[in-house]
Amino acid sequence: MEAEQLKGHLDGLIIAVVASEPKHGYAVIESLKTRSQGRLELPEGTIYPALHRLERNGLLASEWSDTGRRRRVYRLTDKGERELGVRRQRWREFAATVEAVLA
Amino acid sequence: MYLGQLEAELARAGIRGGRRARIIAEFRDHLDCSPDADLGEPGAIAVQFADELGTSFARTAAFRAFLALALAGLLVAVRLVALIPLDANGFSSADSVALLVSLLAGQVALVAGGLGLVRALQLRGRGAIPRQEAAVLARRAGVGLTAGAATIVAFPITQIYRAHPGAVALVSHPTNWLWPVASGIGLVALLVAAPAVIRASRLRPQTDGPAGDLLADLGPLQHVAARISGGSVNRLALIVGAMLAIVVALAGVAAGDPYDGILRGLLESCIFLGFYAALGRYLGIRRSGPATALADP
Repeated sequence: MEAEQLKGHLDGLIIAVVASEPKHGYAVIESLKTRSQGRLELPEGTIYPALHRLERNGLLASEWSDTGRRRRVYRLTDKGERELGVRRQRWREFAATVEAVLA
Repeated sequence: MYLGQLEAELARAGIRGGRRARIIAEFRDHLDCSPDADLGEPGAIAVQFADELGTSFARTAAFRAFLALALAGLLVAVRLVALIPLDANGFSSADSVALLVSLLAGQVALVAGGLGLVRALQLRGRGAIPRQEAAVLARRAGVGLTAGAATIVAFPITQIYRAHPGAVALVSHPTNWLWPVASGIGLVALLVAAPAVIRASRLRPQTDGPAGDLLADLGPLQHVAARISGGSVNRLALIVGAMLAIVVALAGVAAGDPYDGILRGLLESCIFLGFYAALGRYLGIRRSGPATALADP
């Protein structure tokens, strides 16, 4: 799946992988690859502008972590958690609708 | 090598200071984890950062400026109420000029701040907006705050003390303490919003694209307005100016002074059209090209 197909979904995917536990940028990418079984293909650097935007929108919060290596760790905020619930619901409805038509 | 290029591209895109250092640190950490990672072309990454952050900064500037202006406007209203007990005959010509400047600046602040809010609301939900659109948001916020500050300071407190013959101490009359307190709080509110406007002016999206105009500001009413004006923003401004004159004149008639109403109506209309001519293009109200509506998000 290429970057173009991910447009409009990347934010939801990021907050979904951060929801399980706080992650730094590289771990977010790795988590996206693992959970998609390697099907998501996007230039890895593009994840960082999205992380910054989600933080500015209040869906993520971040702080420096100095456990061995200084890195920025992102976690989901309460607002982000609510947004994730909304996006999941919306996606299920959308997928069910498309499936009903295509099947 | 890659980090050096990225840093240079971020600087070129207007991303400075702590934000740039943080981005570089995050990318360095990523490359430490995976030296062969495909992070993307540095120029494209920098543009993406500038587009998304610049969009967010511009919207924040418009929202904060409007909130500050709303508070300042409320306090100006308090000041005007405090003005009522004063004897207008005690006003010097300097007081009258200052009051006129204050009233004009107040209208500019209201229009610029209000239009900034309207445009920001219309652009809400968009990941990135064109540089020209972000510039319009920042300018509207900046002009709104500047005019708001002018509204507050144009009528110096010392003049109102002089205008009020009985005023000898701050606590001697409500007028005397309401003015400085309301002015002070209003100015602080505007100053608090100013950094957001400066930030939005310094970091703009890099992607080019058209900005909307007065028709686009009208949102769901733009199609009606376009039909009335034939799609011409200049014609729409003339229609609004004429309607303004008529409404103010009718208010004068209702108040029993039609001559005064007509004069005020003409004055208000001239002020509006003067504002449109002087600041219309700068504030993204009129454009040199044909009018275009805002694209759907």
